[in-house]
Amino acid sequence: MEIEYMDFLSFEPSTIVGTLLNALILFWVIKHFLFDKVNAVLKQRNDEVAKTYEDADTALNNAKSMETQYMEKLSSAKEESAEIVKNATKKAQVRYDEIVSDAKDDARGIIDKAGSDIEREKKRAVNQIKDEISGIAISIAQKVVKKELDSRAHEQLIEDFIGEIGDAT
Amino acid sequence: MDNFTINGPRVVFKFTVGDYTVRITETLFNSWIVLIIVSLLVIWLGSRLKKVPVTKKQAVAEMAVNFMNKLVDDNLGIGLRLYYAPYLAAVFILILAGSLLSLFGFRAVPSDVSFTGTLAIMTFFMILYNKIKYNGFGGYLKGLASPAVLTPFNILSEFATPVSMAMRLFGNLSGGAIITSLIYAALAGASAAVYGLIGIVADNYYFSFLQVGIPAVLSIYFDLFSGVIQSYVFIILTLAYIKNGKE
Amino acid sequence: MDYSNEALLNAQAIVLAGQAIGAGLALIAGIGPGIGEGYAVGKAIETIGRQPEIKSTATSTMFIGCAIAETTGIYGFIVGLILLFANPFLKYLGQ
Repeated sequence: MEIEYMDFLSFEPSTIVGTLLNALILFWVIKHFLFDKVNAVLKQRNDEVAKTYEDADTALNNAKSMETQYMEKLSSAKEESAEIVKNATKKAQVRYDEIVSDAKDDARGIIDKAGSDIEREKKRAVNQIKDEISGIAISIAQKVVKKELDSRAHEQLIEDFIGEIGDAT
Repeated sequence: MDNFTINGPRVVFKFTVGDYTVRITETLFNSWIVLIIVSLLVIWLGSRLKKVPVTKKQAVAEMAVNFMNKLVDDNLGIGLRLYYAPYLAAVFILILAGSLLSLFGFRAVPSDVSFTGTLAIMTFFMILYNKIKYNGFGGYLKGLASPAVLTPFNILSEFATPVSMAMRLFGNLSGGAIITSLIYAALAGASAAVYGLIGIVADNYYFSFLQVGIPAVLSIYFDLFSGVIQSYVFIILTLAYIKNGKE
Repeated sequence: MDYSNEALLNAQAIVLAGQAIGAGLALIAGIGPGIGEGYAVGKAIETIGRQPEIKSTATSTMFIGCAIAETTGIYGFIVGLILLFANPFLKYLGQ
């Protein structure tokens, strides 16, 4: 078969139509099998990245709001605890005062009792001493006057006398 | 060297429909090869994409797509990437792979004016569509006749755009091919001369040892460099003209 | 057309000579891109010297500009090659 060549500068209709079809087919293949797929993947990835950033932002905001909440709670808890401590202190003060006043009362009672005891003891001692003194005085007087006196009458006399003395002292 | 002629693309096979002969040329045949290879590559690149990239394949695919998207965004504005980016990618890869085919001994696809002309005409209609879409048909006509004196020149420059784009691509690639084949022919002649010097009778089937290696250096420039640059220039110009048409 | 053999040869010689001259003239188109690209590269180097941080941008832009500026030279080159090797006008002699 003889080899047939086209002219160097020749427009061949079949080549033109074929090239047109080739270009369109290649355009379709490249668009459908490469660009659409890659663009979809890129879009997915961009969306995911954007979503990740959004999530991170919301998480950050959540964390911040929680932090402020916690801070508020913490400060309110501090106030509360201060309140509690203050109340406790007040209660304790009251209790302390009560205790102290009770103790003071008790002490005063004890002191009073002790005073009255002392008074009574003193009276008893004084009475005893009076008795003894009167006895001694009587015996002294008996010895002095050598004379048996009516002990009861004299005793009365001496007691009055000592009573005067005691009142005077 | 004696009967060196410049040929167009070879006719691979032809058939008749009615009384019209359809010639399937080398250009179309090679661009089918490109179409099959690139389609398989693209389908492979676009398969099994994960949200989190783990393979190098996906990184390459994303890089390519991002590159085209960014190019369209930078030149045409946001929101037009859906159709323009794959179209430009298709044109780019068609020209690039078509010119790289010549590294494997095929005829470079863009060294046929029918091919480059078709791409340029597509670009031309795209520019026209954008001009009419953004200015209205009346605005487009008014833009053509804006300095009334220059109306013919404006119309002429309207058609000069696709012609210039087609011829630039065609000229670069076919010029490279012609120079490469000239060099091949010259090296064959030089090999024959060397054989003649050392007394070997050379017939038509001798081995031209000078053809090994030396054309590869030229091929790097004319096929690789020129193909890459020209295909990039083609889509950049397409973008620039469309951008102009929008304004 | 009624040429004698000698007349045909003469006509072919004239056409071929015209083609050769035309090819030579067509390659004059290489001057413009040469000057233009040289100027562009010089400017790019100036820019890189002034702002080394935009080296990659300047380089790629320069290459694209060069590729575009080269177009007219390529047109001339193609015309020259066609005239030299494709012999487009011989067929009008009607051999």
